[in-house]
Amino acid sequence: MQNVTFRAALVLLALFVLTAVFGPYLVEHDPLKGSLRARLEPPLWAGGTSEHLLGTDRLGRDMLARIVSGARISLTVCVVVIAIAGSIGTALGMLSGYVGGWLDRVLMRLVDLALSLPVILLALLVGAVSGPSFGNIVLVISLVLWSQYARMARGETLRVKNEDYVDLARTSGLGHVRIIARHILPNIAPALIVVATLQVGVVIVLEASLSFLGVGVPPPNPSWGSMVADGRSYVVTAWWVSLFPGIAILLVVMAVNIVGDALTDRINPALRGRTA
Amino acid sequence: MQDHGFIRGSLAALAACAVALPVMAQSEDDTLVVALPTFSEQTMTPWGGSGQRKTYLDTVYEYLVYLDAEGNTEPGLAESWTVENDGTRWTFTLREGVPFSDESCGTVTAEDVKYSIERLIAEDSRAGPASTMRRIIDTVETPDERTVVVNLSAPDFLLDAGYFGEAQQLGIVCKSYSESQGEAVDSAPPVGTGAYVLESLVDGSEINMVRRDGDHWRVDPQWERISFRAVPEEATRVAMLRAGEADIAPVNFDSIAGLEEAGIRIVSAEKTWSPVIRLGGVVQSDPERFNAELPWADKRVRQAMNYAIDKQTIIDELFAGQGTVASGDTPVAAWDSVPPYPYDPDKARDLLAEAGYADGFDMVLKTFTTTPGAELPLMAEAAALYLAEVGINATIEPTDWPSVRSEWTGGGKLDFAMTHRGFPFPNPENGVEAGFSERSLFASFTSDELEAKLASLAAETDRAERREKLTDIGQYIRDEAGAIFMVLANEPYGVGADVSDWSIDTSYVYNFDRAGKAQ
Amino acid sequence: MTRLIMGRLAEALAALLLMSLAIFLLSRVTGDPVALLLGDGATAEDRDLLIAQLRLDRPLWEQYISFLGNALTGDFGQSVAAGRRDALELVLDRLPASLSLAGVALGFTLVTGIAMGVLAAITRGSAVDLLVRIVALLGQSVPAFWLGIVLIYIVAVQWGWLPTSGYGTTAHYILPALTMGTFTLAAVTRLVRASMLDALGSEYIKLARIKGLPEATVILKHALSNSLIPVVTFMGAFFATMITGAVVVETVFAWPGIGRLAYESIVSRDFPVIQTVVLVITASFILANFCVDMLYLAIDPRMRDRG
Repeated sequence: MQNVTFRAALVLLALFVLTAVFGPYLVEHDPLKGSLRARLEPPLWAGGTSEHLLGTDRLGRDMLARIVSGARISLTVCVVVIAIAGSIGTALGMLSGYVGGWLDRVLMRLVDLALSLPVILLALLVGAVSGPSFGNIVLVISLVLWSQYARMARGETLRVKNEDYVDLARTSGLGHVRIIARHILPNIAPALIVVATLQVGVVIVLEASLSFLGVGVPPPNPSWGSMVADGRSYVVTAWWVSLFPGIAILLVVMAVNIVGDALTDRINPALRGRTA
Repeated sequence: MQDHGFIRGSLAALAACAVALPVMAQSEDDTLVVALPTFSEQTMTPWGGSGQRKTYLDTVYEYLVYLDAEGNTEPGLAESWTVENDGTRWTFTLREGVPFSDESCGTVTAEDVKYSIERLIAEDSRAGPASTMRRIIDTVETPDERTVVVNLSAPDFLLDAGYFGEAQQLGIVCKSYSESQGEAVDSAPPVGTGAYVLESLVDGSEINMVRRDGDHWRVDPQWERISFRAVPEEATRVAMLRAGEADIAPVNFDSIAGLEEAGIRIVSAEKTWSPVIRLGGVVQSDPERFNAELPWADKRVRQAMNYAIDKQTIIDELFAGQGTVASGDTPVAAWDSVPPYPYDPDKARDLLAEAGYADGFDMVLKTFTTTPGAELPLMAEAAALYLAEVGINATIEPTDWPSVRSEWTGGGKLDFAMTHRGFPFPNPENGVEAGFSERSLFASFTSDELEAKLASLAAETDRAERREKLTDIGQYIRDEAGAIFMVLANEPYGVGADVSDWSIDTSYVYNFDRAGKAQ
Repeated sequence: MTRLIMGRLAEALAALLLMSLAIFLLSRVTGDPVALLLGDGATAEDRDLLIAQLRLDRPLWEQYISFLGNALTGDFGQSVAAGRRDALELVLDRLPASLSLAGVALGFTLVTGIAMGVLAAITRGSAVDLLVRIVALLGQSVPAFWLGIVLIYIVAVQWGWLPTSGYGTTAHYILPALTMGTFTLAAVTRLVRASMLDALGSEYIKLARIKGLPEATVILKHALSNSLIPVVTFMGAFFATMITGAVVVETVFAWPGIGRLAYESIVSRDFPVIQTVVLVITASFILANFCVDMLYLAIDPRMRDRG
C-alpha cells in the first residue's frame, strides 16, 4: 500500500518537473496572450471547444497553457526559496550547534523571532516599497522559512558533533570549517532534505496567499497561486479558472508530502514527527 | 498525565467560548443590510475623511441642495438660493424648523450652516474637496437666522449642484453639539437632520442606523433599521446577496450574469466613473515635471495609443457592456459632443512610425484597485494586450493607491503610466482642474494653451459661455490625447428581493434612506 | 528559575525593540499617508501644510525616538486615517475578535488533529491510515482564501446552514475557524501519528500490554499522553501560523480582527496603527512562546536544567 502511493507520488513529481521544464514547448497557445472575445470559455467537456481543452481565463488566455507555464514559475519559486532559506538556515544552524555558547543563544532567539514575524504583513510592506516582484516574493518567503532549517541543522549538529568520527577529525588537526563541511554537513543532510521536501507545499500555498492580497507573482505571468486568486470571484460562474490550478497545487503538495514522509521513514525514522 | 489535563483544558476553553458568545441574532425583517467593501476612515463627521463614507453618513446628515435623477437641483436644507456678482456671491435661504436628532440642538440655523462650511474647509479637514473649496470660499456671513451668504474669490456658477450639493461633503452638523465634543467629535455619535441616527457600531464590521421617530421633512423611510457591513472580499459580498444576508451590495461586472441567474436584481448607477490610463510626465507647462524624453511626450504617440486599444470590446467583455467609450477622463455632460477615438490599429502603427517608433517601445503601466475600480488591473492587462499588437510592450506593475499616488504627486519627471478611475466631480470644472491644471499636484498633462483656456474659463461670468468654453477644453484635451481615454462606466449593485425600489443616479449619492421595502 | 524568566523577558524586550525599528523604517519608505489624505485638486501648499500637521517633516530618527518615548508611556499615537483615534485603543478593540477566532481554530485543529493522528497510528499501513493522511494533507494544500470562499458557497449559500460572514454569534465562528485551522491540521496529525508510533513501539507500552491492561487504556492513557509533548512544543508555532493567516481569513469572512486592521492600515499608510498592530502581534507571539516554554517546564522537569 505504502509502496504504491510512494511510487505514484514519485511519478507525479517527475511529471511536475518534466512539465515545468519542457511543457511550455509542447502547448500550442501562448500563456500570456488571449482574446477578450473568447474569455471565460468552459473546458471541452463542459460545453467548450477543443481549441481550449481546459477553457480560458478572464482575459481569454488558454488555461492549459497557463497551468503548464505556471508549473515552471511555481517550481522556480520553490527551488529558489528553498535554496536561499536552506543554505542560510543550515549555515546558521550548524554554526549555532557547533560553536554553542552565547552565539547559539542569540541565533536561536533570532530563529524564534523569525517564527513570530507576521509574514504576510511583511510581504505587504515590502510589496508596497518596491511593488510585487519575483524577487520580493522569494525574499519574503525565505525570510520566514530559513528558521526551520536552522532549528533542524542545530539539533542535528548537536547530535553529530560528539560522534567518534568528528572527534577523530578534530584530534587529527582538521580546521573547524573543514570539519563542518566534510563531516557534519554530509551527516545532517538527509534530515535537511526532508525539511526541504515538506516545504515545497508551504511555499506554493504561501505564494497563493500573497497573490490573494495583491503582492504575489505580478501579472501577466501565471503562477498557480495567482491563478487561483484570480479565479476566486468565479467559483460559481466559471469554476474552471480556480479549480484547475487548485488541483495542480493539491496534487503536487500531496505528492511531495508523501515522498517526504517516505524519505523520513527510510533515511532516519527517528526524525519522524520533528519536521512539522 | 498532565496531557490529559491539557486536552480537557482545551475542550473546556472551546465550550466556554461557545457559551460566552451571544446567541444567533433575531430575524432581520425590518433591517436593510448593505454590504460595503470598506468603511474607509469610519469617522462620523463630514470633514473627518473621504467621500466614500457618504454611503452611511448620508442617512444621518443632509445637504443644502439635492439633485434629481437628471442632475437638476432641488431644494434641500436650503429652501431657495440666488447667485449674484458674476457668480461670486451666493445667498441661501434655509428651510424653517428642520430638527436635529439631538434635542438640545433645536432646528437648523444659519450659524449651524456657517459652522459646517468653515469646519469642512478648515486646514485640518480631511474631506476630499477641502483644499479646493478653501481656495474659492472667501467669507461666510449670516445676516439672520435663516440666511447664509457665501462670498467666493472666483466665480462658481455650479456651487449649488457642486460643492454645496448632496454629491459632495457639506453635510450640515449641529454647531453646539460638535463644539461640545471637542477633538472626540470624529468618533462621537453623529448628530444631523437625516431620517436615521446611529444605533450601534462594531469597529470595522457593522454600522447600525435606526429610523428617527416622527415624520421626516424630506424622505419617508420604509426600513426601521439600516445595517452597513464592511465586507472587503467581493466573492463574499456576492455570497451574501445570494444567501439573502445582504439586501444591497456593490458587485463586479463579472458577477452580474451569475447574480441575475440567481434572481438578484442589478441596479446600476450610470456613467458615474471613468476608468482611464493616465500618461505620466506630460506636464508641458512646467519644466520641472515635463519629461520630454518619453515616447508619449510626442502627441502622435499618445494618439496612437488611443487608436490602438479596442475599447468597445473591453467594455463588452470586462464591463459587461455597462459603459460607453470615453472621449475624456471624467464624466462631463458638456463633453458628450466630443467624439471618442475609434479603434484603428493601422492608424496607430502609422502614427507611431511617423513619430519614429515604428518598432514600438517599452513602458511601465502601474495599476491598483479602488472602489469602484476593482476592474482596473484587469483593464490594464487587456490594454497591454492591445498595445502589444502595435509594438508597445507595457509591463504591468500592480501596486496600491497610496504608493502610486505619492509618486504621482511627488513632483519630478514621471516616466510611467497608470490606470485611474477618473474624477467624478459634480462640478466638472473642478475635475478638469484636478487632472489638467498645472497648479494641481495630480495633473499629468498640461500645456500653455490649456492653461490659457482654463484661466479664461475661470474668469468667464456668462453661464452659456462657460459651458461652451468647457466643451472646447474637452475637445482640446481629446485632440491632444491628454490620456488614454477608456470608458465611461456604470457602477453595478446587486439588490435582493426584499428591496422594492432603489436607484442611484449620481456618483456619491446613495439614497439608502429612500430604499423601498417589498411587501 | 527566576533567572531564566528574567532572561526571557530581557530577550523579549530586545526582540520588540528590534521589531519596532524594522517596522518603523519599513513603513516610512513606502510613501506616506499625505498623498492619500490630500484632496484631488490639492496644490503643493496644501501638501506642505498637511506634512507639518502630521509632523512628518521632522528627521526620521527624531520621529522614531519620540515614538519610542511615547510608546513606553503607553501612548502609541493617534490614527492618521481613523479620526485621530488612539492607535492602541483601536488595536485592542480588535484584538478579542482575532484571539477568539485563533483560539477556536486552534482548538479545532488540536482536537481533530489528535484524533486523526491516533487513528492513523493505530491503523498504521492500512487504508484508513492512508485516508487520514490524505485528508489532513488536503487541508495543507488548499489556499485558505479559496477554501473559505468555496465553504461559503457550499455551506452558507447552497445549504443555508451557517452565515456567510460577519462577526457576532457562535455560528459565525464555524466557517472561519475551520478555514483557519485546516492548514495546521496536517502538521498536528503528522506529529501525533509519528510520536504515537514511537510510543506504541516503546518498552513501557509493551509492559502495559503484558500486564493485561485493556487496549483502549494502553493507547489513550499511556501512549497518547506521551505523544502530546511534541504537540505542546509546536503550539506556539501553530498559533503564529494562525495569526499570520488571519489577514486572509479575516478578509474573506469580513471578520473585524487585527489582521484586517493591519492590512487596512498598511493600505492607508496609517503609520501609528501599523506600528502598534505589528508590535501587539509580535508581543503576543512572544507571550505565546513564553507560555509554551513554561508549560513545557511544567510537563518535563528535565528541561529545567537546560536553557
